[in-house]
Parts: sequence; C-alpha cells; structure tokens
Amino acid sequence: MQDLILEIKSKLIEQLNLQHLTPEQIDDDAMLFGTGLGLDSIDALEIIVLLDNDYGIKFKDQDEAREVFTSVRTIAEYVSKHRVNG
Amino acid sequence: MQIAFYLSLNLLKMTEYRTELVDSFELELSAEAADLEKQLGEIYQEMGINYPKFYKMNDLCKLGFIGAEKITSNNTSLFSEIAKDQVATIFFNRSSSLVSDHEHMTSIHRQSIPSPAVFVYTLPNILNGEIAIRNEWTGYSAFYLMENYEASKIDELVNIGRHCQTFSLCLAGWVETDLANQKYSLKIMLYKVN
Amino acid sequence: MKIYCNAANIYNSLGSDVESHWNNAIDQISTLQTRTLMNGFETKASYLSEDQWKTLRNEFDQNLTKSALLSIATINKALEKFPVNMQEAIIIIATTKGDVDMIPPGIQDSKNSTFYLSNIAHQIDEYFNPALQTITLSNACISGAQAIQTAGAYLKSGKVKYAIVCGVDLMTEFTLSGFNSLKALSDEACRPFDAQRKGISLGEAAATLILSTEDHPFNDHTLVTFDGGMVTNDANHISGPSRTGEGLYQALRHVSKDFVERPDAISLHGTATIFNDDMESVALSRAGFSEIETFGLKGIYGHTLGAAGVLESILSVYALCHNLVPGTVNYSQPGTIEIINVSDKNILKEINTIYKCTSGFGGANCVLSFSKSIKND
Repeated sequence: MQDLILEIKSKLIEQLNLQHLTPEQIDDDAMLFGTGLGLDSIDALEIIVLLDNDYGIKFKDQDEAREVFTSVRTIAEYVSKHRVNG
Repeated sequence: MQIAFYLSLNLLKMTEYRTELVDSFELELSAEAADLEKQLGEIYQEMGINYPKFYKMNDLCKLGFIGAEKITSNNTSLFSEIAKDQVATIFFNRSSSLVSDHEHMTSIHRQSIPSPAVFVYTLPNILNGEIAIRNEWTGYSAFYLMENYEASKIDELVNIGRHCQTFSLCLAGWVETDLANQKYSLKIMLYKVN
Repeated sequence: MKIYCNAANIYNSLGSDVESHWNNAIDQISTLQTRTLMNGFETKASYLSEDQWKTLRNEFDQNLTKSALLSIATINKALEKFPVNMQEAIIIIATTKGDVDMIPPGIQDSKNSTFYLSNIAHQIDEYFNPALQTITLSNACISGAQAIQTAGAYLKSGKVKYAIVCGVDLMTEFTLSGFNSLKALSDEACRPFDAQRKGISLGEAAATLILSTEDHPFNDHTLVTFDGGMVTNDANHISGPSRTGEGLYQALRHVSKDFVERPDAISLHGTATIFNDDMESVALSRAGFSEIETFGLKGIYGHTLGAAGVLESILSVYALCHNLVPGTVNYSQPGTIEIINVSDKNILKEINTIYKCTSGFGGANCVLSFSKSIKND
C-alpha cells in the first residue's frame, strides 16, 4: 500500500502541476480539497482522467469520484480495490 | 452653412483620455522549447513570490503573470491607493493561446478524454483572469489579437477601454509565446488614466 | 451622443435571413441536432451543413478560412440592410477560437499562420478595405457582447461614424472535446435554468450588428439605442463562476446606475450548466431583478461562444421591437438556487429597455443595455 501511496503522490504532483511539493511534503491523510492541499474542481476532473488512463478506473459520476478523493490514502485504497490495469 | 460645418467638426472631434506612462517592463526569452518553460520557472523563483498556482499556468499566463508581478511589486503604494475595480488589464498578442491549443489538439488525438487542465488554458484571456485572481482586480479586462506589436494600437485600445467604462490604472501590453519560432516576448506598461 | 443599432444579421444552420431567425425564436424551434465526438460521446449541437459551406465557398473566395468566410457573409448581409462608408467605419471581430481545427499537429508547422486568430482580421481587411484596421477581441464567452460595448466606445470617441460588430465561432472537435473533458457537455439538448439541466450544447454561428450615430431604425423596424455596457471580473476562478455572482451583480448594478435603472426584460447567458444558471439567478436576486421577465436562447442556438453576445443581443433587440419576451426553449421546471422569472411560453409585454447578460471563462462578465428611442428626444 505504501508503494502505491507514493506512486499516486508522484502522479498527482506531475499531473496537477504541484511542482512546489515533494511526495514527502504531502501527508497521506491530508485533505486534498477545500483546505489541506487546496485542490479545485479542475484538479478533481484531472484526477478522474488520471485514474482512468493509468488504472482503468471509471466513475459513475463526479459525486462518486469526490467521495473517493478525500485524501491520498482514500484514493490509494480505492485504486487497490478497483484497478483494472497499471 | 458655416454653423453646420462647425457642428460637424465637433462631432468628429476625437476625444482622448489622458494616459500617463508610470512604469514598464520588458522580457525577451529565446531558447529551445523545453528550456523556455524552465526559464519562466527560474525567473519566478528568483522573484521570491509564493504563489503555487503559478505552476498550473500555461506559458502565456506565466509570462504575463511575471510581468504583472514586476509592475505591482514596483508600485505598491500606487496600487494601494486605487480601488480594486479601478485597475484594467488589456493584453495583446498574435498567436492567442497557441501553445496550449497545440497541447490540447495533440491530446485529443492521443486519448479519448483530453486533459481538462490543458483545455481551460486554451483561451488567451485566461491571462487576464489569472492576474485578476492574484490581485483581486474586479474591473475591466480585454484581450486583442494583432499581427504585430504596435504601440499606437495599444494606446488606442487603452483609450477605447476608457471610453467603455471608468478605470484609473491600466496594465496593458504584448504577451507573446511564439513557440514555433522559440521566442517569448513581453512588453508590459502601467498607465495612469483619467 | 446617442448610439443607434441600425442593422443586423444572423447566419447559422437556419440560414441567413434574420427575420426568419426572429420568427423561429417565437415559434420556439431548436436548431440543435445530434453530433458525435471522436471519442464516441453523443451530444446535441447546432452547425452549418456541408451544402451551406459549399454555397458560401461558391459565393466568396475559395482561399478564405471558414471563420473569415462566415464573417464576411454575415457582414455583407447586414450591409445590404444598411450600407456603410467603409472609409468611416471600423469592423470589430469577436471570436474565442477562430479556425482552431486547422492547427497542424506539430508546433513547428505553425510558422505558416493561416489559422492564426489574428489572420481573420487580415482577410476581412482585404475584402472590405475599411479605413481603420479591423480589430479582433477574444475574451471567452463575453467577446460578442464586449465587442458591442467597444463599438459604442469607438463611436463615442469620434474616431469612426460606423461600427460593424461581427461575432463568429465554428463547430470544432477542439471545443467539443474540451467541454466534454470538463464534463460540461450535455448528452441531450441543453435546458437553460431547468431543474433537470445537465450542461451545455454548442453552436456554430456568425452574427453582425451595425451601430452608428445615425438615427436609422433597427432593420427598418424601430429606433433602438445602445445605451452602454459594463465589463467586470469575478477574480475568483478561471473556469467556474463566482458562487455569489459578484461580478455579474456588479455589472448589473453599474448598468442600472449609469444607464437605465430597471430593464423590462433581461436576456440571460443561460448556458444550462448547474453553476452558470445558479450564478445568474443569484446575481439577479442581489440586483433586485428576480421578478423581471427573462429568457435564454441557447436551447435554440446552442452556445455560440464568440458569436453569442452578438447573436443574442440581436434577438434581444428584436424582442424589444416586438414587445415580446420569447419563451425559453427546453425550459420546463424552475431549477435555479434563486427564483427567476423565466417561462417556456412567449410573453407579450411592453419592453422599453432590455439588458443582455454574458459571462465567461476567465471570470469576465458583460452586461449591455438597449432601449427604444423616440426620434428627436
């Protein structure tokens, strides 16, 4: 799980242009949206595309996705359970 | 007959608002494609600004943002005196958001869902938006396309902007990211307008 | 100094007879049809047919880009109604993406600039030869409305006697796929302000409005003045509107204070995204305009981007001339956070002033005011 968490952190930094951060600076359980990392709706869409392209994960709708996107850990747990490829 | 002549002269009299150039900043970058983006990042870091959103911007917005930051940081007391809805931003270039347009175009052909973050930057006026967000400027904004940089046209459209509505400061300039010719150019001016 | 709206034209899949466009709006017939994206997503959109493009190419120069071709065609049609001395005129083009589908895959191939946004004005200048260089405004979805405000400014400044405003945007895979990636594209015809709305439908169109200081009645109907406008910025998010509708509210407030205090009808932007339509309802409520009759035209035309501000202003002026608030096509149930006065039926009402609202990516908003004018007042 830790490997996957690190992998996802690196992908998020790359995909969401978070160049000012290193994986070590992102807490596994930090809130991604709202406060915490302060991601926005475009970032949410980018994560949806990322999970589809890299792990074959498809969400029913944006609401379902947002429930998964609380923290890096919740994303990693979801990917671990639902990944199709990658 | 004479009265009609003078009346028509008055109708055609051009009203010009007085603009006073307060400050300006120029930047020319010439390099291999990948290096241009890197240079923008280096300039940003040298300036010591803490604004992580910078990294999300496309090159057009990064270039214009750097120019706007140079101007605002050089004129802090002037800006502090002016209400946030009284600062206008008017930008110009030839290629619009072409660098992002290319990226989006490539992305469409490569994958079934292109990147939303790239698409959002495929409009030149997002530059005005980013600067407005950074500075909380809620006033007039415009973006015009021109074949070449023409100082007189920029002056004209600053004046026309002032004919549209009131503002007392205007950040105007040429922001061009010509990746095909590997040249990025920025010529940004700050005008007092009354 | 009064600025009059003298003539107008709209060119889309319905054709280029502007009176037919108004009649079609009253009959509430949509021009949206099925469109399938490259990735298989099915949406509804409005776009010219192959035959229409063939006719245009036969009528004008084969080498014109599509944006220039459609612009020249609609400007010509408007000039038929109100010929203008080009030596005393300026042409203002409003577009968001121009000929973007012509972009070659490799950036090195971009040195040949036929598809550049700045090249549309060049082609327009070669065709019409106006005294002043044509200018091109690109400010997302407010472009068309802002171009009208800019035309007013050119006339007020005394630099020109006539201002020809032309808004244009094409149906492109570029734009369709982009909005699809934002999950903003509906899979059915868009439903402005409706409780079941799911997103936008796109539209291809060009529209022209000619303004001047000459008191010539609009398309030979009624004397109509362009009172003025206001552009503001939300300064909040680059692609999402402010939840408090702050920018649009300020624009409404200023137009009300500076020009006409209370409009009799309002033509809204109504893109049919949850966010936009909610935002407009909040802005209207804050401005005290919730009870004023409003309407949206995107159920008929789709979102025509750079053309929208011009096209929808033209039909707003028709509404003004005919004292009729068009019913909003595909609207049936109230669905915005604040209540607005929108209907699926046409409403007869005396309209002396109408506002046109637009909002766009980048956070810009533009509100325009048009009024009936009495000669010699």
